[in-house]
Amino acid sequence: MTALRLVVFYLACVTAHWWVGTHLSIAGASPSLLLAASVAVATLGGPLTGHSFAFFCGLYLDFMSAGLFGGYSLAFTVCAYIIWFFKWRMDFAGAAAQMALALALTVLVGLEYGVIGLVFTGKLIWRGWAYSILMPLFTAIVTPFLFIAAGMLSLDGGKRP
Amino acid sequence: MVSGFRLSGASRVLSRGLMNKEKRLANLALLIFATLSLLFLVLPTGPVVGGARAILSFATYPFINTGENISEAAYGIPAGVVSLLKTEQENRRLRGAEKEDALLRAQLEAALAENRRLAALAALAPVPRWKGIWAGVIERDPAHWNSSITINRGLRDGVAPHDPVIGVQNGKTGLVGKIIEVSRETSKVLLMTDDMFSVTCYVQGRGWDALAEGQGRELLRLNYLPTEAQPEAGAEVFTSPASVVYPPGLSIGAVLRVHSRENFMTFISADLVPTIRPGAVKEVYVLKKAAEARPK
Repeated sequence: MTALRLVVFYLACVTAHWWVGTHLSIAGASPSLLLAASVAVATLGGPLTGHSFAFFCGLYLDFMSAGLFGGYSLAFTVCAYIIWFFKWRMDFAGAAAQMALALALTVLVGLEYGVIGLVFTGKLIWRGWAYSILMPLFTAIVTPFLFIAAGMLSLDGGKRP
Repeated sequence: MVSGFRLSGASRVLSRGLMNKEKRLANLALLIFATLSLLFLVLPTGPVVGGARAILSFATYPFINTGENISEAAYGIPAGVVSLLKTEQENRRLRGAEKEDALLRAQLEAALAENRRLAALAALAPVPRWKGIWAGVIERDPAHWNSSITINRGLRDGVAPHDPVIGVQNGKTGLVGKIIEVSRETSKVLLMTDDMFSVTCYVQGRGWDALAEGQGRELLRLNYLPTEAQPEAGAEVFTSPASVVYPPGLSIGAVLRVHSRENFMTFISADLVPTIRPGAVKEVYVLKKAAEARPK
């Protein structure tokens, strides 16, 4: 049942991400709802749930881009692992902590994707300053809402390692 | 007290076992998904990647298409009301314009016939008429703003990979990109601003041949201009008749600035402002392949 709820949540996030990106971008940047959702699910769910959700969110972004296929899925999976590693050491219950986590991870994903581009195509993928500054901020702002939505999925948070 | 201590110890051992299981699971998940991602990166055109793309296409595009239809309907309501109010006025104006258009069309047909006759006399390849299909942009992610867009036409509408895509902006027609991926109902367009895009072209007037290349940002790069070429700012650049994919004479952009030649370079380059700004394009026209469109 949880798996079915996750699939529905995934498809809703994909549709929302597409709609926001296509119709609501400001100065060429919009929140990455898929990253925010991945952060929320990885924090609230167990390792398998978090990693697989993040992987498929990244895969959708790979599918939509004309460039590296697999770059975002790798970057998102690494983020899910980082979240799992830190979630028992830090408190992500408050909105401020969730926003800070999303902000840091959005920057990290940008860097990871740039480095992956450098390794696989020989070119550092750089989206420009406006995008690199605004996108993490927008993503951080929407993250607490995605935590609320993911909280309704009744995910099993896993055992403390 | 002793039995309590023993119970607490057993509980701790059980808890530690669960912790290790959790840790193993996290490491395993990381290993599996990272390996899959690396496989996708290493084998970008293999059956594994093709399969993954097909599954994602079937799973996500119905939602995106439905979302786009709903958005269009919602956006269309105020515009529809205004349009209804304007229709009567426009109808009257169009009735007059229609007569003028008929005259213009007759002139155009005559000019085309004359062009074909002259082309035949000069033994030139006939210039095919553009034939294609209009498509709406249904997806444009800021993460790849200057790289690709998705349109709502696909295999079902006769769209094929490598079909040229053009657009109209501010009354000007120009190149937008080309189709790189087609599914049943949608297609992906590689924009000419993407750094993987290039097209042979010539500069208006002097006819210098060059190569227009995307740079991953709004401006294009015009490379391999002969060293004696000094195109003026504003000079328009068109697709070359030498291009296999694109019809000749299609506007690509206008020269913004010419870069000074370095000593070690055998050519000069320039920056181009695209005729069609991909970031603002809402609707495009997909040209059917030239061979199919060529008049018989």
